[in-house]
Amino acid sequence: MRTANRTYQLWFEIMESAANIPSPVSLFDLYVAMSLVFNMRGTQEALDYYEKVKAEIDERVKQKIPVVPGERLRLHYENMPLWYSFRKDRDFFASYGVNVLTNLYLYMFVNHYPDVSDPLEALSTEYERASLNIWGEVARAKIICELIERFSLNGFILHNVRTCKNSSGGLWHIAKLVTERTGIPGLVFDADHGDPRFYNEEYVRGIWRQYLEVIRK
Amino acid sequence: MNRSEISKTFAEFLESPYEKLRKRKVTWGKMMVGHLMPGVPPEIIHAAGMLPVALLGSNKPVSKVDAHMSQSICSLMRSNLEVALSGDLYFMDGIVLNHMCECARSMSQIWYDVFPTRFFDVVMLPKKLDSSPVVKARLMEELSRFNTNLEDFAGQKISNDSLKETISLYNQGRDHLRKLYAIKRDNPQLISSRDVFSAIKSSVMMPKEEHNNLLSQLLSELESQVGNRPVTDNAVKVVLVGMVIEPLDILDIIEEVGGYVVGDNLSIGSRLIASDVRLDGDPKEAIIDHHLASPAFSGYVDPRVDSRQSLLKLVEENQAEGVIFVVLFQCDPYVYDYPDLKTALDNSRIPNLQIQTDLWTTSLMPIRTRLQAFVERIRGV
Repeated sequence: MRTANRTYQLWFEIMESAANIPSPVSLFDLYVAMSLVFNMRGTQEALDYYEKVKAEIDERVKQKIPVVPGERLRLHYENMPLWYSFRKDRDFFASYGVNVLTNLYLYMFVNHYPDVSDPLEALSTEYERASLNIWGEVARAKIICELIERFSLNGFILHNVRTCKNSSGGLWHIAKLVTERTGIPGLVFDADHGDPRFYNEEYVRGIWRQYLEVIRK
Repeated sequence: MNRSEISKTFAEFLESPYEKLRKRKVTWGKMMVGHLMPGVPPEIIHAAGMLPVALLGSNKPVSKVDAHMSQSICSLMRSNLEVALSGDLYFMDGIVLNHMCECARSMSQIWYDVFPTRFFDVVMLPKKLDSSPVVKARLMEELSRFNTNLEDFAGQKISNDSLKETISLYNQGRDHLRKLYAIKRDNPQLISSRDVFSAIKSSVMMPKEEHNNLLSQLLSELESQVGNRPVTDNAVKVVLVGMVIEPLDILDIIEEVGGYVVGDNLSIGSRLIASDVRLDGDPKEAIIDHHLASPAFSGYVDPRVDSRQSLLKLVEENQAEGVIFVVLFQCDPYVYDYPDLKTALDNSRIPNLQIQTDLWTTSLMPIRTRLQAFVERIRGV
Protein backbone atom coordinates (compact mmCIF):
# COMPACT_ATOMS: atom_id res chain seq x y z
CA MET A 1 0.00 0.00 0.00
CA ARG A 2 2.89 2.33 0.68
CA THR A 3 4.19 1.60 -2.83
CA ALA A 4 0.68 2.23 -4.16
CA ASN A 5 0.58 5.58 -2.39
CA ARG A 6 3.91 6.63 -3.90
CA THR A 7 2.70 5.47 -7.31
CA TYR A 8 -0.55 7.40 -6.90
CA GLN A 9 1.35 10.53 -5.88
CA LEU A 10 3.47 10.34 -9.04
CA TRP A 11 0.36 9.69 -11.16
CA PHE A 12 -1.34 12.70 -9.60
CA GLU A 13 1.70 14.91 -10.30
CA ILE A 14 1.81 13.65 -13.91
CA MET A 15 -1.87 14.57 -14.38
CA GLU A 16 -1.29 17.95 -12.75
CA SER A 17 1.64 18.68 -15.08
CA ALA A 18 -0.95 19.29 -17.79
CA ALA A 19 -1.63 22.63 -16.09
CA ASN A 20 1.62 23.94 -17.60
CA ILE A 21 1.31 26.20 -20.63
CA PRO A 22 2.13 24.75 -23.07
CA SER A 23 1.28 21.35 -21.65
CA PRO A 24 3.94 18.62 -21.80
CA VAL A 25 1.26 15.90 -21.95
CA SER A 26 -2.10 15.35 -23.55
CA LEU A 27 -5.06 13.33 -22.37
CA PHE A 28 -4.16 10.74 -25.00
CA ASP A 29 -0.81 10.18 -23.26
CA LEU A 30 -2.58 9.92 -19.93
CA TYR A 31 -5.14 7.41 -21.24
CA VAL A 32 -2.26 5.16 -22.24
CA ALA A 33 -0.31 5.76 -19.04
CA MET A 34 -3.26 5.12 -16.72
CA SER A 35 -3.32 1.36 -17.24
CA LEU A 36 -0.55 0.66 -14.72
CA VAL A 37 -1.93 2.80 -11.92
CA PHE A 38 -5.30 1.15 -12.46
CA ASN A 39 -4.15 -2.42 -12.81
CA MET A 40 -0.69 -2.73 -11.21
CA ARG A 41 -0.85 -0.22 -8.41
CA GLY A 42 1.30 -1.40 -5.52
CA THR A 43 3.91 -3.13 -7.73
CA GLN A 44 7.51 -1.98 -8.12
CA GLU A 45 7.11 -2.12 -11.92
CA ALA A 46 4.35 0.47 -11.82
CA LEU A 47 6.33 2.73 -9.50
CA ASP A 48 9.42 2.48 -11.75
CA TYR A 49 7.32 3.28 -14.80
CA TYR A 50 5.78 6.44 -13.32
CA GLU A 51 9.16 7.61 -12.04
CA LYS A 52 10.47 7.43 -15.62
CA VAL A 53 7.39 9.17 -17.02
CA LYS A 54 7.57 11.87 -14.38
CA ALA A 55 11.28 12.50 -15.09
CA GLU A 56 10.55 12.83 -18.81
CA ILE A 57 7.67 15.23 -18.19
CA ASP A 58 9.75 17.34 -15.79
CA GLU A 59 12.36 17.66 -18.50
CA ARG A 60 9.76 18.69 -21.07
CA VAL A 61 8.37 21.30 -18.67
CA LYS A 62 11.86 22.63 -18.06
CA GLN A 63 12.51 22.93 -21.77
CA LYS A 64 8.94 24.08 -22.53
CA ILE A 65 8.42 21.31 -25.07
CA PRO A 66 4.72 21.18 -25.99
CA VAL A 67 2.97 17.93 -26.79
CA VAL A 68 0.83 19.83 -29.31
CA PRO A 69 3.00 22.29 -31.23
CA GLY A 70 1.37 25.71 -31.37
CA GLU A 71 -1.15 24.82 -28.67
CA ARG A 72 -4.10 27.21 -29.16
CA LEU A 73 -7.03 25.68 -27.33
CA ARG A 74 -7.14 23.57 -24.19
CA LEU A 75 -10.06 21.22 -23.51
CA HIS A 76 -11.61 18.98 -20.92
CA TYR A 77 -12.95 15.68 -22.32
CA GLU A 78 -15.27 13.63 -20.12
CA ASN A 79 -15.52 9.83 -20.02
CA MET A 80 -13.70 7.19 -21.97
CA PRO A 81 -12.03 7.77 -25.34
CA LEU A 82 -13.10 6.16 -28.58
CA TRP A 83 -10.53 3.38 -28.23
CA TYR A 84 -11.03 2.19 -31.81
CA SER A 85 -10.34 5.69 -33.13
CA PHE A 86 -7.71 6.69 -30.60
CA ARG A 87 -4.78 7.71 -32.81
CA LYS A 88 -7.04 9.39 -35.38
CA ASP A 89 -8.71 11.45 -32.68
CA ARG A 90 -5.40 12.49 -31.19
CA ASP A 91 -4.22 13.63 -34.62
CA PHE A 92 -7.55 15.35 -35.33
CA PHE A 93 -7.35 17.58 -32.26
CA ALA A 94 -3.64 18.23 -32.72
CA SER A 95 -4.24 19.31 -36.33
CA TYR A 96 -6.44 22.12 -34.99
CA GLY A 97 -3.87 23.11 -32.37
CA VAL A 98 -6.14 21.73 -29.69
CA ASN A 99 -4.76 19.97 -26.65
CA VAL A 100 -7.18 17.81 -24.71
CA LEU A 101 -5.87 17.74 -21.16
CA THR A 102 -8.20 16.72 -18.40
CA ASN A 103 -10.70 13.97 -17.71
CA LEU A 104 -12.39 12.68 -14.55
CA TYR A 105 -12.13 9.06 -15.71
CA LEU A 106 -8.44 9.25 -14.84
CA TYR A 107 -9.31 9.88 -11.19
CA MET A 108 -12.19 7.45 -11.02
CA PHE A 109 -10.62 4.29 -9.73
CA VAL A 110 -7.56 5.64 -7.98
CA ASN A 111 -7.17 7.18 -4.56
CA HIS A 112 -4.52 7.77 -2.00
CA TYR A 113 -4.76 5.45 1.03
CA PRO A 114 -4.84 7.91 3.94
CA ASP A 115 -3.72 5.51 6.65
CA VAL A 116 -2.07 2.20 5.83
CA SER A 117 -1.60 1.01 9.41
CA ASP A 118 -4.79 -1.05 9.05
CA PRO A 119 -4.84 -2.21 5.41
CA LEU A 120 -8.42 -3.48 5.42
CA GLU A 121 -9.64 -0.26 6.98
CA ALA A 122 -7.64 1.69 4.39
CA LEU A 123 -9.21 -0.31 1.55
CA SER A 124 -12.72 0.30 2.95
CA THR A 125 -12.03 4.00 3.33
CA GLU A 126 -10.73 4.21 -0.22
CA TYR A 127 -13.84 2.42 -1.45
CA GLU A 128 -16.00 4.95 0.35
CA ARG A 129 -14.03 7.84 -1.15
CA ALA A 130 -13.74 6.37 -4.65
CA SER A 131 -15.15 8.91 -7.02
CA LEU A 132 -17.11 6.29 -8.91
CA ASN A 133 -19.06 5.52 -5.75
CA ILE A 134 -19.69 9.02 -4.46
CA TRP A 135 -19.70 11.42 -7.37
CA GLY A 136 -22.97 12.57 -8.72
CA GLU A 137 -23.65 14.89 -11.64
CA VAL A 138 -23.58 18.00 -9.46
CA ALA A 139 -20.24 17.04 -7.90
CA ARG A 140 -18.75 16.20 -11.30
CA ALA A 141 -19.84 19.58 -12.68
CA LYS A 142 -18.18 21.31 -9.73
CA ILE A 143 -14.91 19.45 -10.30
CA ILE A 144 -14.95 20.21 -14.04
CA CYS A 145 -15.38 23.91 -13.18
CA GLU A 146 -12.33 23.66 -10.91
CA LEU A 147 -10.34 21.92 -13.65
CA ILE A 148 -11.31 24.60 -16.15
CA GLU A 149 -9.83 27.19 -13.85
CA ARG A 150 -6.76 25.25 -12.69
CA PHE A 151 -5.77 24.02 -16.17
CA SER A 152 -6.75 27.22 -18.05
CA LEU A 153 -9.24 25.39 -20.27
CA ASN A 154 -11.24 26.94 -23.11
CA GLY A 155 -13.96 24.32 -23.46
CA PHE A 156 -15.30 20.90 -22.55
CA ILE A 157 -16.51 17.93 -24.56
CA LEU A 158 -18.63 15.29 -22.87
CA HIS A 159 -18.82 11.81 -24.38
CA ASN A 160 -22.22 10.16 -23.93
CA VAL A 161 -21.03 6.56 -23.78
CA ARG A 162 -24.06 4.57 -24.88
CA THR A 163 -23.06 1.45 -22.95
CA CYS A 164 -22.11 3.23 -19.70
CA LYS A 165 -25.24 4.88 -18.37
CA ASN A 166 -23.62 5.21 -14.97
CA SER A 167 -21.15 7.77 -16.24
CA SER A 168 -23.23 9.23 -19.05
CA GLY A 169 -26.88 9.44 -18.00
CA GLY A 170 -26.68 13.00 -16.73
CA LEU A 171 -24.03 14.59 -18.98
CA TRP A 172 -26.50 17.15 -20.35
CA HIS A 173 -27.16 18.32 -16.81
CA ILE A 174 -23.42 18.54 -16.15
CA ALA A 175 -22.95 20.60 -19.33
CA LYS A 176 -25.74 22.95 -18.28
CA LEU A 177 -24.25 23.47 -14.80
CA VAL A 178 -20.69 24.00 -16.05
CA THR A 179 -21.80 26.52 -18.68
CA GLU A 180 -23.94 28.38 -16.14
CA ARG A 181 -20.97 28.66 -13.77
CA THR A 182 -18.13 29.35 -16.20
CA GLY A 183 -19.84 30.90 -19.20
CA ILE A 184 -18.02 28.39 -21.41
CA PRO A 185 -20.20 26.42 -23.83
CA GLY A 186 -19.84 22.65 -23.80
CA LEU A 187 -20.57 19.85 -26.23
CA VAL A 188 -22.17 16.46 -25.58
CA PHE A 189 -21.80 13.86 -28.34
CA ASP A 190 -23.12 10.32 -28.70
CA ALA A 191 -20.82 7.36 -29.31
CA ASP A 192 -19.35 4.48 -27.38
CA HIS A 193 -15.92 3.70 -25.99
CA GLY A 194 -15.83 0.10 -27.15
CA ASP A 195 -18.65 -0.56 -29.59
CA PRO A 196 -18.05 1.17 -32.93
CA ARG A 197 -21.62 0.38 -34.00
CA PHE A 198 -22.61 3.43 -31.93
CA TYR A 199 -19.96 5.56 -33.65
CA ASN A 200 -20.52 7.63 -36.74
CA GLU A 201 -17.26 9.27 -37.73
CA GLU A 202 -18.87 11.84 -39.97
CA TYR A 203 -21.29 12.94 -37.26
CA VAL A 204 -18.69 13.02 -34.47
CA ARG A 205 -16.02 14.82 -36.47
CA GLY A 206 -18.65 17.23 -37.78
CA ILE A 207 -19.86 18.35 -34.39
CA TRP A 208 -16.33 18.44 -32.96
CA ARG A 209 -15.33 20.79 -35.80
CA GLN A 210 -18.37 22.98 -35.26
CA TYR A 211 -17.70 23.10 -31.54
CA LEU A 212 -14.06 24.06 -32.02
CA GLU A 213 -15.19 26.86 -34.34
CA VAL A 214 -17.56 28.13 -31.64
CA ILE A 215 -15.00 28.23 -28.84
CA ARG A 216 -12.23 29.51 -31.14
CA LYS A 217 -14.34 32.59 -31.79
CA MET B 1 -70.59 2.65 -7.50
CA ASN B 2 -71.03 -0.20 -9.94
CA ARG B 3 -68.11 -1.99 -11.56
CA SER B 4 -68.00 0.09 -14.72
CA GLU B 5 -67.98 3.28 -12.67
CA ILE B 6 -65.18 1.93 -10.50
CA SER B 7 -63.09 0.87 -13.51
CA LYS B 8 -63.75 4.28 -15.03
CA THR B 9 -62.57 5.93 -11.80
CA PHE B 10 -59.26 4.02 -11.96
CA ALA B 11 -58.80 4.76 -15.66
CA GLU B 12 -59.61 8.46 -15.30
CA PHE B 13 -57.27 8.76 -12.34
CA LEU B 14 -54.43 7.27 -14.40
CA GLU B 15 -55.04 9.69 -17.26
CA SER B 16 -53.84 12.58 -15.09
CA PRO B 17 -52.84 11.25 -11.66
CA TYR B 18 -50.70 14.20 -10.59
CA GLU B 19 -53.34 16.77 -11.45
CA LYS B 20 -55.97 14.81 -9.53
CA LEU B 21 -53.72 14.43 -6.51
CA ARG B 22 -52.86 18.13 -6.58
CA LYS B 23 -56.52 19.08 -6.53
CA ARG B 24 -57.19 16.50 -3.87
CA LYS B 25 -54.49 17.88 -1.61
CA VAL B 26 -56.18 21.23 -1.34
CA THR B 27 -59.00 19.80 0.72
CA TRP B 28 -57.31 16.69 2.03
CA GLY B 29 -54.62 18.42 4.03
CA LYS B 30 -52.20 15.49 4.18
CA MET B 31 -48.61 15.64 3.00
CA MET B 32 -47.75 13.70 -0.16
CA VAL B 33 -44.46 11.95 -0.86
CA GLY B 34 -43.50 10.66 -4.30
CA HIS B 35 -41.33 7.57 -4.38
CA LEU B 36 -39.69 5.20 -6.83
CA MET B 37 -40.57 1.56 -6.81
CA PRO B 38 -39.80 -1.24 -6.25
CA GLY B 39 -37.62 -0.91 -3.18
CA VAL B 40 -39.01 2.04 -1.24
CA PRO B 41 -41.55 0.66 1.26
CA PRO B 42 -44.70 2.82 0.99
CA GLU B 43 -45.95 1.45 4.31
CA ILE B 44 -43.40 3.52 6.25
CA ILE B 45 -44.45 6.72 4.45
CA HIS B 46 -48.10 5.98 5.07
CA ALA B 47 -47.49 5.21 8.75
CA ALA B 48 -45.86 8.64 9.07
CA GLY B 49 -49.23 10.14 8.18
CA MET B 50 -48.45 10.96 4.54
CA LEU B 51 -49.67 9.72 1.19
CA PRO B 52 -47.06 7.65 -0.67
CA VAL B 53 -47.37 8.19 -4.43
CA ALA B 54 -45.40 5.90 -6.75
CA LEU B 55 -43.52 7.84 -9.41
CA LEU B 56 -44.56 6.14 -12.64
CA GLY B 57 -43.96 8.94 -15.12
CA SER B 58 -46.65 9.76 -17.62
CA ASN B 59 -47.64 8.79 -21.14
CA LYS B 60 -47.02 12.30 -22.45
CA PRO B 61 -44.04 12.81 -24.79
CA VAL B 62 -41.01 14.45 -23.18
CA SER B 63 -39.25 17.67 -24.13
CA LYS B 64 -37.67 19.35 -21.10
CA VAL B 65 -35.74 16.35 -19.84
CA ASP B 66 -33.50 16.26 -22.93
CA ALA B 67 -31.60 19.23 -21.50
CA HIS B 68 -30.59 17.10 -18.51
CA MET B 69 -30.53 13.41 -19.32
CA SER B 70 -29.27 11.14 -22.04
CA GLN B 71 -31.69 9.46 -24.39
CA SER B 72 -30.05 6.21 -23.41
CA ILE B 73 -31.90 6.43 -20.10
CA CYS B 74 -35.20 4.51 -20.00
CA SER B 75 -38.47 6.31 -20.63
CA LEU B 76 -39.73 5.61 -17.12
CA MET B 77 -36.97 7.64 -15.49
CA ARG B 78 -36.88 10.27 -18.21
CA SER B 79 -40.62 10.69 -17.93
CA ASN B 80 -40.42 10.95 -14.13
CA LEU B 81 -37.93 13.79 -14.39
CA GLU B 82 -39.99 15.38 -17.17
CA VAL B 83 -43.05 15.40 -14.91
CA ALA B 84 -40.98 17.13 -12.22
CA LEU B 85 -39.47 19.63 -14.68
CA SER B 86 -42.92 20.43 -16.06
CA GLY B 87 -44.05 21.55 -12.62
CA ASP B 88 -46.66 18.81 -12.31
CA LEU B 89 -45.20 17.63 -8.99
CA TYR B 90 -44.81 20.95 -7.26
CA PHE B 91 -47.50 19.98 -4.73
CA MET B 92 -45.32 17.09 -3.48
CA ASP B 93 -43.88 17.60 0.00
CA GLY B 94 -41.19 15.03 -0.42
CA ILE B 95 -39.48 12.70 -2.85
CA VAL B 96 -37.85 9.35 -2.11
CA LEU B 97 -35.68 7.79 -4.79
CA ASN B 98 -33.46 4.72 -4.96
CA HIS B 99 -30.67 3.19 -7.02
CA MET B 100 -32.53 0.14 -8.30
CA CYS B 101 -30.80 0.44 -11.69
CA GLU B 102 -28.35 2.73 -13.48
CA CYS B 103 -31.17 4.80 -14.95
CA ALA B 104 -32.68 5.38 -11.50
CA ARG B 105 -29.24 6.25 -10.12
CA SER B 106 -28.66 8.72 -12.88
CA MET B 107 -32.01 10.37 -12.33
CA SER B 108 -31.64 10.52 -8.57
CA GLN B 109 -28.32 12.37 -8.90
CA ILE B 110 -30.00 15.13 -10.89
CA TRP B 111 -33.40 15.21 -9.26
CA TYR B 112 -32.74 17.34 -6.22
CA ASP B 113 -30.81 19.87 -8.26
CA VAL B 114 -33.74 20.49 -10.59
CA PHE B 115 -36.62 19.77 -8.24
CA PRO B 116 -35.80 20.44 -4.59
CA THR B 117 -38.51 19.42 -2.15
CA ARG B 118 -38.79 19.95 1.58
CA PHE B 119 -38.04 16.27 2.12
CA PHE B 120 -35.66 14.31 -0.09
CA ASP B 121 -34.13 10.91 0.48
CA VAL B 122 -32.41 8.22 -1.51
CA VAL B 123 -32.96 4.76 -0.06
CA MET B 124 -29.93 2.61 -0.84
CA LEU B 125 -30.80 -1.06 -0.63
CA PRO B 126 -28.34 -3.92 -1.17
CA LYS B 127 -28.29 -5.14 -4.76
CA LYS B 128 -27.53 -8.68 -3.75
CA LEU B 129 -30.42 -10.29 -1.95
CA ASP B 130 -30.25 -13.36 0.22
CA SER B 131 -31.24 -14.16 3.77
CA SER B 132 -27.75 -13.75 5.21
CA PRO B 133 -27.41 -11.69 8.41
CA VAL B 134 -25.26 -9.11 6.60
CA VAL B 135 -27.97 -8.33 4.04
CA LYS B 136 -30.70 -8.21 6.67
CA ALA B 137 -28.60 -6.00 8.92
CA ARG B 138 -27.89 -3.59 6.05
CA LEU B 139 -31.57 -3.48 5.13
CA MET B 140 -32.52 -2.78 8.73
CA GLU B 141 -29.87 -0.07 9.02
CA GLU B 142 -31.09 1.68 5.88
CA LEU B 143 -34.81 1.39 6.63
CA SER B 144 -34.23 2.64 10.18
CA ARG B 145 -32.30 5.62 8.84
CA PHE B 146 -35.09 6.36 6.37
CA ASN B 147 -37.68 5.88 9.10
CA THR B 148 -35.91 8.40 11.37
CA ASN B 149 -35.53 10.96 8.58
CA LEU B 150 -39.20 10.65 7.78
CA GLU B 151 -40.16 11.01 11.44
CA ASP B 152 -38.12 14.19 11.71
CA PHE B 153 -39.85 15.60 8.66
CA ALA B 154 -43.34 14.51 9.67
CA GLY B 155 -42.81 15.74 13.22
CA GLN B 156 -44.25 12.55 14.60
CA LYS B 157 -42.95 9.16 15.65
CA ILE B 158 -43.87 6.11 13.62
CA SER B 159 -44.98 3.67 16.28
CA ASN B 160 -44.94 -0.08 15.74
CA ASP B 161 -48.71 -0.09 16.16
CA SER B 162 -49.28 2.52 13.47
CA LEU B 163 -46.89 0.71 11.11
CA LYS B 164 -48.71 -2.55 11.72
CA GLU B 165 -52.02 -0.82 11.07
CA THR B 166 -50.66 0.43 7.75
CA ILE B 167 -49.28 -2.99 6.87
CA SER B 168 -52.68 -4.47 7.54
CA LEU B 169 -54.26 -1.89 5.23
CA TYR B 170 -51.74 -2.63 2.48
CA ASN B 171 -52.19 -6.39 2.97
CA GLN B 172 -55.90 -5.89 2.49
CA GLY B 173 -55.20 -4.07 -0.77
CA ARG B 174 -52.88 -6.83 -1.95
CA ASP B 175 -55.48 -9.44 -1.04
CA HIS B 176 -58.17 -7.60 -3.01
CA LEU B 177 -55.92 -7.31 -6.04
CA ARG B 178 -54.97 -10.99 -5.90
CA LYS B 179 -58.66 -11.89 -5.86
CA LEU B 180 -59.31 -9.54 -8.78
CA TYR B 181 -56.44 -11.09 -10.71
CA ALA B 182 -57.73 -14.61 -10.01
CA ILE B 183 -61.20 -13.67 -11.23
CA LYS B 184 -59.71 -12.34 -14.44
CA ARG B 185 -57.57 -15.43 -14.91
CA ASP B 186 -60.43 -17.86 -14.39
CA ASN B 187 -63.17 -15.75 -16.03
CA PRO B 188 -61.39 -13.78 -18.72
CA GLN B 189 -64.56 -12.34 -20.21
CA LEU B 190 -65.75 -10.88 -16.94
CA ILE B 191 -63.26 -8.01 -16.80
CA SER B 192 -60.61 -6.74 -19.18
CA SER B 193 -56.89 -7.07 -18.53
CA ARG B 194 -56.63 -3.32 -18.84
CA ASP B 195 -59.12 -2.82 -16.03
CA VAL B 196 -57.20 -5.25 -13.82
CA PHE B 197 -53.84 -3.62 -14.47
CA SER B 198 -55.37 -0.16 -14.10
CA ALA B 199 -56.57 -1.25 -10.66
CA ILE B 200 -53.05 -2.46 -9.80
CA LYS B 201 -51.33 0.64 -11.15
CA SER B 202 -53.70 3.07 -9.47
CA SER B 203 -53.25 1.18 -6.17
CA VAL B 204 -49.74 2.59 -5.80
CA MET B 205 -50.81 6.17 -6.39
CA MET B 206 -54.27 6.65 -4.90
CA PRO B 207 -55.00 6.92 -1.18
CA LYS B 208 -54.95 3.31 -0.01
CA GLU B 209 -58.09 3.46 2.12
CA GLU B 210 -60.09 4.81 -0.79
CA HIS B 211 -58.60 2.35 -3.25
CA ASN B 212 -59.32 -0.62 -1.00
CA ASN B 213 -62.90 0.53 -0.64
CA LEU B 214 -63.36 0.74 -4.41
CA LEU B 215 -61.74 -2.67 -4.87
CA SER B 216 -64.02 -4.15 -2.26
CA GLN B 217 -67.11 -2.91 -4.13
CA LEU B 218 -65.69 -4.09 -7.44
CA LEU B 219 -64.97 -7.55 -6.08
CA SER B 220 -68.38 -8.04 -4.52
CA GLU B 221 -70.05 -7.33 -7.87
CA LEU B 222 -67.64 -9.48 -9.86
CA GLU B 223 -67.80 -12.37 -7.42
CA SER B 224 -71.56 -12.52 -7.85
CA GLN B 225 -71.05 -12.98 -11.59
CA VAL B 226 -68.25 -15.54 -11.48
CA GLY B 227 -69.10 -18.63 -13.50
CA ASN B 228 -71.99 -17.00 -15.32
CA ARG B 229 -70.03 -16.57 -18.51
CA PRO B 230 -68.11 -19.31 -20.28
CA VAL B 231 -64.38 -19.07 -20.90
CA THR B 232 -63.61 -18.53 -24.56
CA ASP B 233 -62.19 -21.80 -25.84
CA ASN B 234 -59.67 -20.50 -28.25
CA ALA B 235 -58.32 -17.49 -26.32
CA VAL B 236 -54.56 -17.86 -26.02
CA LYS B 237 -53.21 -17.69 -22.49
CA VAL B 238 -50.11 -15.56 -22.15
CA VAL B 239 -47.72 -14.59 -19.40
CA LEU B 240 -46.16 -11.10 -19.35
CA VAL B 241 -42.54 -10.55 -18.33
CA GLY B 242 -40.97 -7.18 -17.51
CA MET B 243 -41.09 -4.29 -15.12
CA VAL B 244 -44.16 -2.35 -16.22
CA ILE B 245 -46.54 -2.67 -19.12
CA GLU B 246 -46.69 0.68 -20.82
CA PRO B 247 -48.70 2.00 -22.46
CA LEU B 248 -51.67 0.06 -21.07
CA ASP B 249 -53.20 0.01 -24.58
CA ILE B 250 -51.03 -3.05 -25.21
CA LEU B 251 -53.33 -5.01 -22.92
CA ASP B 252 -56.30 -4.08 -25.10
CA ILE B 253 -54.41 -5.21 -28.18
CA ILE B 254 -53.52 -8.57 -26.62
CA GLU B 255 -57.22 -9.22 -26.00
CA GLU B 256 -58.32 -7.86 -29.38
CA VAL B 257 -56.03 -10.27 -31.21
CA GLY B 258 -57.30 -13.21 -29.19
CA GLY B 259 -55.01 -13.50 -26.21
CA TYR B 260 -55.47 -12.95 -22.51
CA VAL B 261 -53.13 -12.49 -19.61
CA VAL B 262 -53.08 -15.32 -17.06
CA GLY B 263 -49.91 -14.39 -15.21
CA ASP B 264 -47.00 -11.98 -15.07
CA ASN B 265 -43.94 -11.02 -13.09
CA LEU B 266 -44.26 -7.27 -13.58
CA SER B 267 -43.19 -4.96 -10.77
CA ILE B 268 -46.42 -3.05 -11.30
CA GLY B 269 -48.26 -6.33 -11.54
CA SER B 270 -48.12 -9.67 -9.79
CA ARG B 271 -44.79 -8.97 -8.09
CA LEU B 272 -46.48 -6.19 -6.18
CA ILE B 273 -49.22 -8.42 -4.81
CA ALA B 274 -47.47 -11.78 -4.62
CA SER B 275 -47.46 -12.00 -0.84
CA ASP B 276 -48.40 -10.11 2.30
CA VAL B 277 -46.20 -8.57 4.95
CA ARG B 278 -46.62 -10.58 8.15
CA LEU B 279 -48.24 -8.80 11.07
CA ASP B 280 -46.49 -10.54 13.95
CA GLY B 281 -43.17 -9.43 15.42
CA ASP B 282 -41.24 -6.28 14.55
CA PRO B 283 -42.95 -4.54 11.60
CA LYS B 284 -39.72 -3.27 10.01
CA GLU B 285 -38.29 -6.79 10.13
CA ALA B 286 -41.50 -7.99 8.52
CA ILE B 287 -41.10 -5.45 5.70
CA ILE B 288 -37.52 -6.63 5.18
CA ASP B 289 -38.57 -10.29 5.11
CA HIS B 290 -41.25 -9.40 2.59
CA HIS B 291 -38.68 -7.58 0.46
CA LEU B 292 -36.40 -10.62 0.56
CA ALA B 293 -39.25 -13.02 -0.21
CA SER B 294 -40.65 -11.07 -3.16
CA PRO B 295 -40.36 -12.65 -6.61
CA ALA B 296 -37.17 -11.96 -8.56
CA PHE B 297 -36.67 -8.45 -9.90
CA SER B 298 -34.04 -7.99 -12.59
CA GLY B 299 -32.52 -5.01 -10.78
CA TYR B 300 -31.35 -7.27 -7.95
CA VAL B 301 -29.03 -10.24 -7.84
CA ASP B 302 -30.70 -13.07 -6.00
CA PRO B 303 -28.56 -16.22 -5.78
CA ARG B 304 -31.45 -18.08 -4.15
CA VAL B 305 -33.60 -17.87 -7.26
CA ASP B 306 -33.07 -19.15 -10.80
CA SER B 307 -35.21 -16.68 -12.71
CA ARG B 308 -35.37 -19.06 -15.70
CA GLN B 309 -36.92 -21.78 -13.55
CA SER B 310 -39.25 -19.24 -11.90
CA LEU B 311 -40.51 -18.19 -15.32
CA LEU B 312 -41.02 -21.77 -16.48
CA LYS B 313 -42.92 -22.46 -13.27
CA LEU B 314 -45.07 -19.37 -13.79
CA VAL B 315 -45.93 -20.59 -17.30
CA GLU B 316 -46.68 -24.12 -16.11
CA GLU B 317 -48.79 -23.10 -13.12
CA ASN B 318 -50.97 -20.89 -15.27
CA GLN B 319 -51.03 -23.32 -18.22
CA ALA B 320 -49.89 -20.42 -20.37
CA GLU B 321 -49.33 -21.03 -24.06
CA GLY B 322 -46.90 -18.20 -24.67
CA VAL B 323 -44.78 -15.52 -23.05
CA ILE B 324 -44.63 -11.85 -24.02
CA PHE B 325 -41.63 -9.84 -22.85
CA VAL B 326 -42.76 -6.24 -22.44
CA VAL B 327 -39.56 -4.28 -22.09
CA LEU B 328 -39.02 -0.56 -21.97
CA PHE B 329 -36.37 0.67 -24.41
CA GLN B 330 -33.06 1.11 -22.55
CA CYS B 331 -34.25 -0.90 -19.52
CA ASP B 332 -30.95 -2.70 -19.03
CA PRO B 333 -31.87 -5.08 -16.19
CA TYR B 334 -34.54 -6.72 -18.33
CA VAL B 335 -32.58 -6.49 -21.56
CA TYR B 336 -29.68 -8.28 -19.84
CA ASP B 337 -31.96 -11.05 -18.53
CA TYR B 338 -33.78 -11.52 -21.81
CA PRO B 339 -31.32 -13.84 -23.64
CA ASP B 340 -31.20 -16.29 -20.73
CA LEU B 341 -34.95 -16.28 -20.24
CA LYS B 342 -35.59 -16.65 -23.96
CA THR B 343 -33.20 -19.58 -24.22
CA ALA B 344 -34.96 -21.30 -21.31
CA LEU B 345 -38.34 -20.81 -23.00
CA ASP B 346 -37.04 -21.93 -26.39
CA ASN B 347 -35.54 -25.06 -24.87
CA SER B 348 -38.93 -25.85 -23.35
CA ARG B 349 -40.63 -25.08 -26.69
CA ILE B 350 -42.67 -22.25 -25.19
CA PRO B 351 -43.49 -19.59 -27.83
CA ASN B 352 -42.28 -16.15 -26.83
CA LEU B 353 -42.14 -12.65 -28.19
CA GLN B 354 -40.36 -9.49 -27.12
CA ILE B 355 -41.89 -6.06 -27.64
CA GLN B 356 -40.14 -2.85 -26.65
CA THR B 357 -41.91 0.39 -25.92
CA ASP B 358 -41.48 3.80 -24.38
CA LEU B 359 -44.04 5.18 -21.96
CA TRP B 360 -45.17 7.58 -24.67
CA THR B 361 -45.29 5.10 -27.55
CA THR B 362 -48.34 6.00 -29.61
CA SER B 363 -47.67 4.15 -32.81
CA LEU B 364 -49.00 0.78 -31.75
CA MET B 365 -49.81 -0.69 -35.17
CA PRO B 366 -46.46 -2.51 -35.54
CA ILE B 367 -46.92 -3.95 -32.05
CA ARG B 368 -50.45 -5.03 -32.94
CA THR B 369 -49.21 -6.83 -36.05
CA ARG B 370 -46.54 -8.67 -34.09
CA LEU B 371 -48.94 -9.64 -31.30
CA GLN B 372 -51.52 -10.83 -33.81
CA ALA B 373 -48.93 -12.95 -35.61
CA PHE B 374 -47.75 -14.32 -32.28
CA VAL B 375 -51.24 -15.36 -31.18
CA GLU B 376 -52.01 -16.84 -34.60
CA ARG B 377 -48.78 -18.81 -34.52
CA ILE B 378 -49.75 -20.34 -31.18
CA ARG B 379 -53.26 -21.12 -32.42
CA GLY B 380 -51.78 -22.73 -35.49
CA VAL B 381 -53.78 -20.52 -37.81
